[in-house]
Amino acid sequence: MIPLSFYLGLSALLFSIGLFGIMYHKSGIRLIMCIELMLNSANLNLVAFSSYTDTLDGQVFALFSIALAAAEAAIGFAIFMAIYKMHEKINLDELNLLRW
Amino acid sequence: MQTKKLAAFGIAVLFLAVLGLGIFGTSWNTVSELPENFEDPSNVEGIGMLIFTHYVVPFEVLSLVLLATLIGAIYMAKGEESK
Amino acid sequence: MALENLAFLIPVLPALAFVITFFFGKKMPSGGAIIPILSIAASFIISLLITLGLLANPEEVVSQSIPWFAMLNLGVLIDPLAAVMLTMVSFVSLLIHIYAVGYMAHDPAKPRYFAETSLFTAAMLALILSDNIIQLFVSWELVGLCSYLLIGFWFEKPSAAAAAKKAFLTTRVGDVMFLTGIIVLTTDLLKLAGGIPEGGYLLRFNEIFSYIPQLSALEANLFGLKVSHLTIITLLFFGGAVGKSGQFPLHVWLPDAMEGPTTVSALIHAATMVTAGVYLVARTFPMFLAAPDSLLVVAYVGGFTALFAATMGIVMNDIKRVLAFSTISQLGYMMLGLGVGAAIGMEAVGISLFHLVNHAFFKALLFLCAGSVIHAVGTHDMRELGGVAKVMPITAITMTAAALALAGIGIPGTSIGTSGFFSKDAIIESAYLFGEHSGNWLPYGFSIAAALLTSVYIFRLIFMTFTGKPRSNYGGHESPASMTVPLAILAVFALVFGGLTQTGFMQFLEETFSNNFVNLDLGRLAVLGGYELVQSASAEPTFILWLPILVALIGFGISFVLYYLKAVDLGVLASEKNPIYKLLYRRYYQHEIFTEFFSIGIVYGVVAFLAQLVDVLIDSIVESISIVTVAAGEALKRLQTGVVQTYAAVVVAGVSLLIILIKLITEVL
Repeated sequence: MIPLSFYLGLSALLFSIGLFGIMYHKSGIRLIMCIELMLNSANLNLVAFSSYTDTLDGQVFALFSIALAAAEAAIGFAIFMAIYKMHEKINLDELNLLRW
Repeated sequence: MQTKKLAAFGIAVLFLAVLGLGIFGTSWNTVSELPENFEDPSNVEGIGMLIFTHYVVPFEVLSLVLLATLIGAIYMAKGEESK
Repeated sequence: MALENLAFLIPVLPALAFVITFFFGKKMPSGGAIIPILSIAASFIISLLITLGLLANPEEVVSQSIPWFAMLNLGVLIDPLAAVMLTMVSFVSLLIHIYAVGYMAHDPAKPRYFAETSLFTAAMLALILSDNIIQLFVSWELVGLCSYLLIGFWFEKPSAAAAAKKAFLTTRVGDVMFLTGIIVLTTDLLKLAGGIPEGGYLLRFNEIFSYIPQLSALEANLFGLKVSHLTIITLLFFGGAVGKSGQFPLHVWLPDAMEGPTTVSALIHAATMVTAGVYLVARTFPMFLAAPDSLLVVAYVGGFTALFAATMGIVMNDIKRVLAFSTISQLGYMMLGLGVGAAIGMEAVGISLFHLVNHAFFKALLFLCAGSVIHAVGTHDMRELGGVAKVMPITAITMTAAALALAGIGIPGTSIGTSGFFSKDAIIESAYLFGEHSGNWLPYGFSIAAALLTSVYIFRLIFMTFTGKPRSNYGGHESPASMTVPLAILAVFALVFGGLTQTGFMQFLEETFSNNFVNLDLGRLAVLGGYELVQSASAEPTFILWLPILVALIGFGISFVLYYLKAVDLGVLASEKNPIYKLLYRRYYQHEIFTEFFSIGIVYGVVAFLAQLVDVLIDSIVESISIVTVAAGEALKRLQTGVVQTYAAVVVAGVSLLIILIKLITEVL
């Protein structure tokens, strides 16, 4: 069987792709999608550990993580709806009221 | 390439490098053989048992969280409409 | 009650009078003059009794002290030197206070005047009887303060305020030198005694004198010259005396000090305060005797001042200015008298003090008569006077008596003569001995020339003021009795005191340093100083004996011809076109050189420039700190972009770098 570190490496790669997306993209929707990507990479990590150490706790944790990711995405979209109502745009580069 | 793309790419690569060094440099304590469970191949029974015995409190709390999320998201998305 | 125990009252009583008059003087009749007069009379009686006691028994010197703090004590020392000065100061002060009752009768600020003169008398008496040098210095400063207060008595007049300031600052220069001398002396004494001795007072005069042989062995290296420490100390003390006694170059304050009331000029600037410098040199005379070259400096400065001031006195038109320059000149004589101690040793103190006491009498008398004239006539300028003798006969007679005393009229070889004759003659003869013995003839030349000019200016004053026809319309009357009685008393003293006490006085003073308190072998000290004392005075040639009186008579003759007979037209000689006259009248441009150029131009200019430099410097430093802070803020604020992604990027980058850093540190260490 393949060593555990391959799974972990895949998860790290997915995480950094999500990270790049967060730091680069302008649109708010894309931001939420990248956050989901990062969360999913963490789930992958959990499941990998769970299977290689012969316990099921990691998979339970991963279930909870999925549920919470969904909840968080919902809230995120609701926030962007409110912002759109106020400013007519969700271009993150232009939402800089806390600027100097 | 714009600076933003370059900077974001650079930071992501840096982070990946750090993580990678961490992952491939550690000796993980793992089982030698992947377990094969023929009675319960998808582990559903095992997961269900765990949820409702050890982790029942987080499960109930999670349901409350989902409820709160539902209410909050609907309220925020609705805005200030007069009823 | 033993008389010695009352000695401390001599300065204390006038000080109490000062306090009482200052606070309650307004409510008392005659502006509170009676309390100071009574207290000074009491001091006079005590000093007189002590002096008489000392005359009978010169060994029994009054010496008491109480500890003060650290190594200082407060003490009283009355030896012959102090005794004669105490009696003279209290006597003259008493007479002038009585005179001032009449002179200041119309002045609204009388209580302040009497309080201040009372304080001054207290300080002067404390100076005379102090037995250690610190107490002397404290009284010295106090006397200077009272002089400032009294010169600026009519402070609403800007010229008076300026004169008071000038007096204080000029004497301050001298005071700083005096203090430096005390510091050097204390340092040396502490080094020689190896620390502060238990229960001993290092700065008492008897202790200082006992260390003189050791002090004279100490030498310092100044600009490549080897100078004895004693010379440095004594020259610094002499610097203080130069300031206080108006020797060249710190004499510039005395003529301006005539802005004060005339009684102040009589008290402070004729009889008492200006003699404090002479007293200091006399008190520390053993140190001067043991210091090489100090006495020569004293003699030269004194002689030069005598001549220098006399040249300016002959052209002044204000009565009080003439007398002021006369005072400076006579003080020069006193310093010269002390300086020729290089040849005659201890006698120098005797002759100098003799002239000091006589000068106090006739100079105070001259000032008081001038005050009487000014009080009656209302003007200071002699060009507007003339023929005052018809209006004020008593004043005229007493002033003439004083003039005769100042010029030194008398018959040599006998006891007939005015006081000034005996004392000035003694100084001039000693200067001759000094010249003959050491080959320095300049002091003698100075003294003879000054005697001539003295006679000229004082008789010029008499002729211009009292004789001839009135040159302006001045109305006037003789002064009241409270003013003429002191004049008469002083006139009697000015005429006969010298003749009566001549030999006794000088002998009395020679005992000053060889009594039970201070046991000094002055011959040994003179050897330390490198002076060869005259062992036996050979008889002087008759010509030298008669020269001073001859010169005085020539001076009388010159002014008689010029001002009484008016034989020569002075319009050309005494006008601004004559360059010599202009030089003398403008007092050798000293005001321009010292005040305008040096003080205002150089010193004030440098100080103002430095102040501005510091201002700009400090301002720029403080401002630059603020500029740096603000600029840093401006630069760093750009980190707050408001865009969430930037924050996320920074967080992630920071975490990665932190992990790398920790790994590196743990690997390296």
